[in-house]
Amino acid sequence: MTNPTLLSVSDVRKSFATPRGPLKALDGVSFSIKPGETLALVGESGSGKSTLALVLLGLLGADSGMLAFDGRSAAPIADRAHRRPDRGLGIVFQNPHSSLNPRMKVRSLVAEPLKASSDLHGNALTDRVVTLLEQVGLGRQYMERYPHELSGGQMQRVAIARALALEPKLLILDEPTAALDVSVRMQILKLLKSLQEHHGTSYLYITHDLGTVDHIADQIIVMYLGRIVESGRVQDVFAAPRHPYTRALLDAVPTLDPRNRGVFVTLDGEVPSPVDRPSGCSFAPRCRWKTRRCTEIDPALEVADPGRAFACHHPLASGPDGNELDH
Amino acid sequence: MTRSILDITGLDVTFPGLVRDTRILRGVDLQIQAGQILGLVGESGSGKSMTASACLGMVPEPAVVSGSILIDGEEVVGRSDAELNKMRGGQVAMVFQNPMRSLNPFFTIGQQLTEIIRRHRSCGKQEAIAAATEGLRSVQLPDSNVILCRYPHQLSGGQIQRVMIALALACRPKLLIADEPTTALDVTVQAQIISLLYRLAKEAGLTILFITHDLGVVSQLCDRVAVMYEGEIVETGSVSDIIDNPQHAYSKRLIEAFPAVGRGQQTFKAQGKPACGPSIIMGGAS
Repeated sequence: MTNPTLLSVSDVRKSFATPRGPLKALDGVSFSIKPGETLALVGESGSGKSTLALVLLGLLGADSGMLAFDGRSAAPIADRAHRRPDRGLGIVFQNPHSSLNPRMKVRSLVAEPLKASSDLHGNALTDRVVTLLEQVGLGRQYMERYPHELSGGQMQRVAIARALALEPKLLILDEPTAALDVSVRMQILKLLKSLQEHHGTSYLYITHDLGTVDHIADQIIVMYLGRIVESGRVQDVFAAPRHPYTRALLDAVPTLDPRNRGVFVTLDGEVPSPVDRPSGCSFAPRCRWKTRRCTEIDPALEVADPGRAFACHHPLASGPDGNELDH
Repeated sequence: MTRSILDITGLDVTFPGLVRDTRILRGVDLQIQAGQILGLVGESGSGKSMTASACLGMVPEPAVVSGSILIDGEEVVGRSDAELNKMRGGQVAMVFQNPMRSLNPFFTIGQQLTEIIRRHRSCGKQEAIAAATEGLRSVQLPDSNVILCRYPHQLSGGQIQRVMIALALACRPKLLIADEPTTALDVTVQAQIISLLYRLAKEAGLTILFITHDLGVVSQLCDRVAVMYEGEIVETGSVSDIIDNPQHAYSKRLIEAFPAVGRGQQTFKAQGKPACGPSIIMGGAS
């Protein structure tokens, strides 16, 4: 194949039944990840990012959609649920305090996946655990510690070692640095980056903080209310966001420049409830460029340049529109 | 404008131990002028939150507190619980990091707001409801009547944090202590809350001690910064002083660790534009 993809999913849909009607958590999501590449998945709480992660892992059954992973042919994604988890997929959760068993030592935490799916034991197992810990920058002396004896950054390193134990081809990172201090955050991102260079693992990096995205990701997908509103290469999207929501997310990231003090470009309101999705474009109620067309017709995801897509009737052009937010 | 609302001098907090005592705070000195916002930055365990607790007289037993904390001229250290209870709310109030955990899930927002107001102002129910409505309006929660009847789980994180700010401000304190109030929130909602606090300080003359580990938030919001490291204030100054010319190694590390949109933070600094600057420049190059 000329253009290999590691993972491709198409038209994933998942809705939850609620007393107030169906909640569409994922509404036709399609994307693909190439080997060794990092795809950032960005959006506010409630945009469907974590649901997508659970669906990919098979921890949650999807309603419809196809998935092709690691050279196999596409199969309905719903089949993944209630099956043995795919060894090629790993996950690092947001909060290591709650994702690591407090009653297990680091040694057994890292050894657990190895015991479950390989016949390593005895010294060979210990050696493998030590190698894994060293890869994430922790020495042998951490083996006999419990999670509460570690700092947040060290715990997250253990979680990463655990996820890497089975040498996954794709690692899902669900806000891996959100629970960490700013100074530790960059260390973890650097570690992930160097691990990727070493092993060629692909990452699906889920976050709501655009500030960290371009340190680690190659491609970006912006989600809003279960749909993709913009996608493309990180540098292209950051240089010229076409969807007003992407622009608002970029503007919300605090900068280190004190000259910006007291200048707030805020996005009003919050994500509407996915149960009563607004008619037309779901972002329209919060959008400052909305017209009547936006509230009536739902914009489709259009491919602009190769690899670049956005769903908006009035995309921010590289012209006067784009400057309107400039103060 | 020279009046200090918060004046901490030589604050020491020590936990007695079996082998040796642990000094959590070591001679902290900190002043905030009326109407100013001071950002207190430092990593977990550096003593930021302990400083905040000390200002409210809430240092846990068996710690020994020495030094002086003056809030609008009134000493906090060494006060009895009854006296402190009068100061809390009236002189100084606090907004915590995790709003979901700081409200009682069994009572409506209205019940919790009016309870506080009636307790401090000793007024009737109707008056308290009116004050609560007014309070919610001041934190830009428009449908105040609807919100008052809701339980905490029915609100979003951003709405709850606004309610917490309304609660804290209900008795018109002179000093508001905000302990990482936006850490649990989405970036977009964080921007809304920060802009609300900024307006409250600049328009209503509120004095704010803002505790965070995010220098980006500090540079958008604060007049001055104090950097805390291992229980000591290692550096204070204006935001631009500390960002352009950090003296202490920890300050330098914090600035280096700051993730900036557009990778080249240096580039945007050189251009003198905000982080969204490069995107506008490059995007608007037509």
